[in-house]
Amino acid sequence: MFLLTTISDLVQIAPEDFAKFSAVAIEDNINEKYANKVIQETGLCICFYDLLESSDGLIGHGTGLVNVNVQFRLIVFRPFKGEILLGRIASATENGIKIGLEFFNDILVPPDFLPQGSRFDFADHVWMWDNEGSTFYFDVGEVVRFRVEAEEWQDQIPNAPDQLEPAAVSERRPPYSIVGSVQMAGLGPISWW
Amino acid sequence: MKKPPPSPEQIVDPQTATLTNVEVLAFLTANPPRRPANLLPTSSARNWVPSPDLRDHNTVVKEIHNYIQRLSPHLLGYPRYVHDQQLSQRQQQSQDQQQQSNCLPPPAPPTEPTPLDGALRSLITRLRPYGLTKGEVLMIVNLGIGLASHGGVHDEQDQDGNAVAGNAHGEGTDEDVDMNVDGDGDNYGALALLDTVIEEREERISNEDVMAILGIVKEELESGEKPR
Repeated sequence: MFLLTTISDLVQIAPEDFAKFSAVAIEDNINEKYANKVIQETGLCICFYDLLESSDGLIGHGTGLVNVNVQFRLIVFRPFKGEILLGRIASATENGIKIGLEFFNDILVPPDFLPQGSRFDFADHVWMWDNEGSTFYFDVGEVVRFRVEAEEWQDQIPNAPDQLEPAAVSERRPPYSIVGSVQMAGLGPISWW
Repeated sequence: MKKPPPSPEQIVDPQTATLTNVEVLAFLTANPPRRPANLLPTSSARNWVPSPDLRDHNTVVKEIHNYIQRLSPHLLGYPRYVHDQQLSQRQQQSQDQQQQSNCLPPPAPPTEPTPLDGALRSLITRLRPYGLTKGEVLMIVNLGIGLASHGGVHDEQDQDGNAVAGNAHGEGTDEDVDMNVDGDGDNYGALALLDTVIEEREERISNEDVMAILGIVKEELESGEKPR
């Protein structure tokens, strides 16, 4: 579920960091800018992996910042379609089951991707699967295996306040979300298999 | 301090390489987040932001370690993925560095392969004749299919040799439902999962080959150390 992405960027080193070794200052700048942030159509950036190239530092007019053109690789989280991952059931609603992976929690398994014969128990807020007479439960907190079916990107462009739709701001979708499935053999709570 | 204007980054290559979870674990273990030298706020403690602001970096790395410990603990039992010598040296050096003023250059990363590197290389070579795709091998390594501590949270159930259906809540009396179709209770879960991991498994890989694959995975990835 992790991959390496090569990125070319401009790093600005502030004068107070001149005492650090360049490699260290560049790595810190990159980790500060990219760690735990989503790049659209690329994935959730984890951290700096290695530095491929860096140019000489050039000082621009007006500030004392040293500009360095760098090319580097980042570790990025982006499971491929069809990949099978381990996660934990975080919550359940009639819209499906939400699964969390500690560092990434925007995963939903909609009712269409639950096994045939599943239904939602509104009293206990839990999904159940009736299979040939016996009932299996998707309990909150269970460790499950699921398959990545689709990913959704939502660019978080700030919108000018729209007087006609005041509710739009509170329904912001996450920048990167995954749709999963637990229909196939071996998927669902690991205790089932 | 004003933040510099955002610079447009360019994605040169969105997918230069894929990494298994255990390789990411090895990297994060060998390269923990740095602790900035100045931890004390200068003037106004309320709005103080550390520089460099590595809070997000620390957060995501800690969460990944939590993920592995709580949801994928079988990875911790894989062949050794750290260079032991370097790890203890690093701990000493990082303590010294905080006292000194960073006059030592950052230590060069060790170049000799770890036992894990050897195991992964050997695994990929031995699986090549079976025609699995890269994604399929990646999933097999990530999920630890067929290993004794597979699905580590439920070790006791695995050792019983029976895959117990349902869980504490469900009506677990029907333990025979859908189980033991192959007559091989130990591997039932692994075989079912492999049918999902490997697309069109029945057409591409025979049953004997599947057992051979499970055997190879077990040999290469079980280092004999119990996950801590």
